[in-house]
Amino acid sequence: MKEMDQMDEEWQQALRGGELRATGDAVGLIAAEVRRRRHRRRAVATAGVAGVAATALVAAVLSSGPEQRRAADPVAAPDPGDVLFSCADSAVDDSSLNLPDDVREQWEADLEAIEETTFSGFAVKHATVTGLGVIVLVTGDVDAAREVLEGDYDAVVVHGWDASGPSVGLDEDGQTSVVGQWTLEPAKKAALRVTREVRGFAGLAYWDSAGAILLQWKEPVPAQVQALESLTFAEGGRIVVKGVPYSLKEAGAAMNRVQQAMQSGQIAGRWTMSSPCNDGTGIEIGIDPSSLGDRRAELQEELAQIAGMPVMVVPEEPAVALMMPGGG
Amino acid sequence: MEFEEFARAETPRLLGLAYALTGNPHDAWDLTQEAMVRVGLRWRRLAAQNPGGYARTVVVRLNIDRARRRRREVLTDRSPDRAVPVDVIDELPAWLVEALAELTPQQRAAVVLRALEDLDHATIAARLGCSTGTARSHLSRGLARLRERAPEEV
Repeated sequence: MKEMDQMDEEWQQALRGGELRATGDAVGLIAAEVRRRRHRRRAVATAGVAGVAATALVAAVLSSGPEQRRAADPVAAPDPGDVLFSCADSAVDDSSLNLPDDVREQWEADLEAIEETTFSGFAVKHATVTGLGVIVLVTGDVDAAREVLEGDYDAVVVHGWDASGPSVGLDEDGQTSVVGQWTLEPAKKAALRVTREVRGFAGLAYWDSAGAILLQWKEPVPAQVQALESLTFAEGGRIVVKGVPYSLKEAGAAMNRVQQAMQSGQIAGRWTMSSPCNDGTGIEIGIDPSSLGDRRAELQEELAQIAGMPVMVVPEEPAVALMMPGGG
Repeated sequence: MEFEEFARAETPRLLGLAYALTGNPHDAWDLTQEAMVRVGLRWRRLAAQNPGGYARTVVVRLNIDRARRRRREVLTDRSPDRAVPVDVIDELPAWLVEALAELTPQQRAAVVLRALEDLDHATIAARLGCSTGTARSHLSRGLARLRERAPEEV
């Protein structure tokens, strides 16, 4: 809305104008592929019921150390096209499952086998492959579902479907996410415990797609903190420790220095917000667009001198303006 | 409604979304076919819900996954001229495809979903599988970068 109001109508029209048309056999190709995969899936499900090696494989992978299971860096690589310093969009990359391909394929096969089966005493409302395994929401006898599914499959988390969830905005995906975060609670508590004992805490995030809690710590990471990666939790999940350049405390002090400099008039521009970067590499400073003009590069440099760490300047309306009707 | 009836009705819309996300008809078809197949495999459960929304979410997430994999892989076995069962009726302008290609996959998805489907931040977040705040950030940065990269057109 607000953003699109500023966009050229011609640009939107051009995007909407692109059109492809399926030729006659497109739907036939899709239907044929569905049949082929159903056939393959039945074969996989049969193998799963018979026994066997498949679940042992998952058990072996799950019991391996964090080094073996780690698949991707939690923060996406910076875009080489960016010249100015820029914080990462998020502390973690959740755009796809951060799992080894063989593990993901096994869990997807488990999911398909579960979806294909009709159970006695409970029904599967929704099931999804997540970084923690297959999260299954069931209706009916939840205890029976746990006994059957968590017994038959090594990486399945069963929880009751909350029928009232959708009325408060928690649909299947929402409830799956909540169950995942409940499962990660013990790992989160263990990660937070160490922040009371050791200095250098920089941030903590749920890393859903990796089934982990990401703990950011100022480098060099103390051995006591690094050792958290070797913890295992009965409920599932793990802790991934990532070293970052600045602690949360250092980022806070830098934000105070910048805010004071701007509010005292030492630097021209209207400050609107401060925030630590999600990836612990600096701070983000919001400047009212009306006072920013084309000075972003220049301002980033000046503010970095004051902050003592990299600064990303973003055009940001004052909070009051954002709350006005039509303010996005 | 039967799955094939749904596929016939929904495929054109899905192709449009996939074309805007990928910028080329080959990848658009691949994404559309994969999303429709996934819907087909779950048809018994999805039929009574929102199979179209599910399919569009799959297209968006598969495209992000595809882009991430491509950053890491050198694709040598891919023929741009291979036949796909789609005709290009109206081509996207080259400048727009180039400008969109400069965005991260998440930013591009956020911009396309806002422009094509007029979705709000919460729905974009659901499609991307991220928080509303992160979706807001992807959209805002995507639009800002588009303006920077193609100032004469955007």
